[in-house]
Amino acid sequence: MIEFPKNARGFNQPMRFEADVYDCQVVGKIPSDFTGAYVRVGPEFYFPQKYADDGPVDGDGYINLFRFRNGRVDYKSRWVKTLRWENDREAHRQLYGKYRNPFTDDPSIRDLTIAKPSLRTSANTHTLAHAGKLFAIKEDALPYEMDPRTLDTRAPWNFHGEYDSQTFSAHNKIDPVTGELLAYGYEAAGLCTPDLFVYTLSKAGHVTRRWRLKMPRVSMIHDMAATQKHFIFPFGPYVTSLEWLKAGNCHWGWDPREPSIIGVLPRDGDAEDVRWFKGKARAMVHILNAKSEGNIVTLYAAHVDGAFIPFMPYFKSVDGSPLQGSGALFRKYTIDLGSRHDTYQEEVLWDTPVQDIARIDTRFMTLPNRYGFSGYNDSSKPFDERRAGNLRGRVMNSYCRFDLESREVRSYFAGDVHSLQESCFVPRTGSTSEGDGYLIGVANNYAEMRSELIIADARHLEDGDVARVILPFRSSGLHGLWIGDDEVDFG
Amino acid sequence: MVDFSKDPTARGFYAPDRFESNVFDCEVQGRVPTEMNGAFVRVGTEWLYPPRFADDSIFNADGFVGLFRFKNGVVDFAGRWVRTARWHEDMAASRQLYGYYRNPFTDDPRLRAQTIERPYLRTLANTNVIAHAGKLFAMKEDGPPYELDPKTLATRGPMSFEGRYRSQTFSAHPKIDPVSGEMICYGYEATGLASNDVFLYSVDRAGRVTREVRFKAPYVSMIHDIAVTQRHIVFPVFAYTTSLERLRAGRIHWAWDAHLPTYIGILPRDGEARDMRWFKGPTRSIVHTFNARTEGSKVILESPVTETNPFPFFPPDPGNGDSAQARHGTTIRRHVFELDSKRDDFSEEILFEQSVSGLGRIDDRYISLPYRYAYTGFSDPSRPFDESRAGNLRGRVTNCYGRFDLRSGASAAYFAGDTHTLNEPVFVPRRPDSPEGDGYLIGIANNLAEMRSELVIADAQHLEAGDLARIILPFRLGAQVHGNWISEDRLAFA
Amino acid sequence: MHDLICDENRADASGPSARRLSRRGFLGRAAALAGSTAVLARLSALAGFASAPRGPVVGFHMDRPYLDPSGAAEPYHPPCGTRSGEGMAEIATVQLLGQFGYC
Repeated sequence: MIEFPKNARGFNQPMRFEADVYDCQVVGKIPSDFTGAYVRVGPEFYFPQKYADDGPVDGDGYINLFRFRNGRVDYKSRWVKTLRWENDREAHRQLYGKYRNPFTDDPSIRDLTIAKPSLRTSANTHTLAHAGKLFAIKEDALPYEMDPRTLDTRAPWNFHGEYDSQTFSAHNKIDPVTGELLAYGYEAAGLCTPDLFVYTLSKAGHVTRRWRLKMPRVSMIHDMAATQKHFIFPFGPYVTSLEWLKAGNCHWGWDPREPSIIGVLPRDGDAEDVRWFKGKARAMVHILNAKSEGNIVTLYAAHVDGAFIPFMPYFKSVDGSPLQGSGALFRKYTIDLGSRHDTYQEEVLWDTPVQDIARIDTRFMTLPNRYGFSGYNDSSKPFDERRAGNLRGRVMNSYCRFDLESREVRSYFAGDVHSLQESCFVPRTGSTSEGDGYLIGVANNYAEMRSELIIADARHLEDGDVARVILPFRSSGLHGLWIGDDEVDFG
Repeated sequence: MVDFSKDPTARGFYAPDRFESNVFDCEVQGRVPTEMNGAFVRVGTEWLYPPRFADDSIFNADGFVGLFRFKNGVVDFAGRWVRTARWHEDMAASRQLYGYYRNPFTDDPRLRAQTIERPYLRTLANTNVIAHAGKLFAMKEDGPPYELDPKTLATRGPMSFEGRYRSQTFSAHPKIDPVSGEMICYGYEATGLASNDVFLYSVDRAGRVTREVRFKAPYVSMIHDIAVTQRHIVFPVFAYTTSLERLRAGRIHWAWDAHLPTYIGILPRDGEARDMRWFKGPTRSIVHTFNARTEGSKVILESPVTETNPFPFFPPDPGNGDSAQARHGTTIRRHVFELDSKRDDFSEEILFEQSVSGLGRIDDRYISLPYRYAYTGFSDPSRPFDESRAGNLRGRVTNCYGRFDLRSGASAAYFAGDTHTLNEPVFVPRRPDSPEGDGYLIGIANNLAEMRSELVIADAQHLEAGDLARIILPFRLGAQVHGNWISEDRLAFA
Repeated sequence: MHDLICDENRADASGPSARRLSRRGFLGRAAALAGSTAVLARLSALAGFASAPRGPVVGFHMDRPYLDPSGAAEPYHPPCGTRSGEGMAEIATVQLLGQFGYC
């Protein structure tokens, strides 16, 4: 008997399938600029979670891609067949306990996973393409290499043996100027260690520099920013300890008494040059981009107030206080490296809550950039509850292009029975100016119970679809990338 | 650009599927019997590209196989296209090149000359999927069977039986004799489009062709299914007909003609073509049979039978339609053929008044032998049906499986649910040596409200008790024609 | 109680373009539902209709919808959308975002 929780029904009943669609149905015309694939990775439970108070971020890795070529699109989805997946498959049940807590695993595997927690990874958070390789990643372990043609799972990759952190990041950055991979891992030396290892890797995938830092607090650095001059590591007061884990909790607790911290490390400096800036406690999960101009480092992000809502309630508060959090808003953080103080300025740029997984034109990563793309709920737009169900307006029905300087908002509406997943920018072939290209993303159609990949002109979002790929089923993914044929061989 | 928006039937639950899939460790409600070790394999139709003609038959859609692998209470699912020559041609062109159901004159000019000359190139292998002599194959009556890899469902290619099978066409309903293990198979239109040639074969349990008989039918017709006894083979010929003239005029392959009598051919299993005896009766549609047996000088056949055209996409030409007073339902009937008689008529008896689906099965270990139970789906409008969630289909969906006891006249029913519609049932013996009917009745239930398909498993001797288990797929399956249970001692599954 | 029959204009897939359907678009859609006019003409001749035929109808047979060009079939009306988001409505926002993340 394999049964999932009763509240996972309708559109959100378990998916758990691998699929291939050849020559997908399309409304409109796929632009000829699309040669490559939109690759996404996200969590999906293979077997039901062992503990009811575990979080969906603990699901098994699930990778899918839309492969575009010659105006045609094929879709493929597969499990990331980590060691964890294979062990569950053999046992025909869930062996793994709570999110990143090996002490809660099944006795048959617990000793191994406590000794080497990276063995537990589900590689379920994001994808990455670098040096011709394609990866599925979770921050708790090395990235899993995937075959881009078949989406078969190859093996964890340690960069020719040169990468020595036990952990990686789901949000490492590629410097568009040099093609270098800027990477890091926290809890790098093992469970609950304060070690933060930082790396640069060449375009060919070899480690060229490494830094070993100690964090002032063991915390979740889920995402990082980089500029041409600095690494930036923001993190809120998610905390952990071996004691916390042995008490049977999910990996993270929330401590509202602790400050948020932003670490700044010069790219041409040494580990001891790192500076830790402190500010108001808030969960700092995802980042848009940053820039360095002289001594001023400016960071842009869509951050919440308080705790991170999607992680509530399973990342409990350490002092038993009720968790509080609100929607993510576009914010700007200003750090003055010339100042003697260890604080930073913050400013809210737009008071409409947006998806915190906001994105940019990645050709401008580490450089001054103008636009942030994200999803949001435009309550002025219609929603047909009769066909889609009573979602009471809690859908992301629109994508925005937000101008970080002028605060101008341009908007794309997905439809009256739709909710959008993470957006992604695809450059127009041959373009050089920021935002000259397409905005794509997967929309859930609650009336037809299927997912659809929308393609809009990023400079004219209000014009609606350029094209839309209609899948015959639902498709989920947490984070994704547009990866061109020149980066990886999709066959 | 792949666009199904002009097809008004391809909506909601019936929107295109067109995907291959794997599900490991399917979600299960209840407990799957651990004695079930093998696979439930089903084949059906799915348009790779939209049909060229809006009124074409669903039988003209590409073949798609689904396989539920059962082992020790764990079930995995795999779904794959049958990659026929036709599938490859369409995929390479990124569009539908083929015209009407079994009419190559309506194909795209780029391949029409070829498909007119060799119409079997158009086969879709979409009607049945069976195992024999250690091989798994899918077939359609218009061409050769296609062999599939039982572990991966990869398409291996068309089968030729070492060149000893000489009909251009095969059948969707060969019969495997449980006593001898031989497969009795045949092809009509065996020598080409609208030809009146039927070639009959026996293939031994090792897969070798051992016998061939060639004969002609009273008129060119759809001999979709046959029945076999230990001594005879029964060929129903009825009301559908075709001709080259019709095909050249660009019409769909079959027309129903209510003026055509029914002919039932009875051939001794060890006989020659001249030993064929044709019995004649009133217009009937006998698309499928349950079973037959020979008792002394009588051949006895049970089938789901209707008196009117069951396929609206094969309509009659003007003037050839059913009379307004004709009965419409399909009922389980017995036909008795008296071989000692000099007359060519035969008797008909309606065994159960219940109107049933035209897709019915028995415990296949009793093919050609005296048997007791017939299983088929039927529509029971007195059961609950939630129209607000599933559409205005009360009384129009197959929502029950029935076990019809031919000995006692009793029947028992299994109800699938208030938003469900059932595909063909299949009987699975509990153990190889269990008595007839001791086992499970399984089949696909489409859950129209939850947009998913479910495989139901009921105790065949206690249908009214409901599910023993139900396998919940996370998506819809496409249309099914036929399916079979194949135990793992007959095929090497994954 | 939900309406059983959806407005034809709303029954299709892609969001805003379906809603902003012009009159020409609607007629185009009706023609598409009818199949090509050539097919329709041939089929109505076959069905022996002396007068103008009823439009083609989506009927339901052998547990599947099918197009009846003669218009005689009892129409099949699918449910008005799957309402697959319904299960999420009862869940508190915090739990909704916690369980179903970003969509």
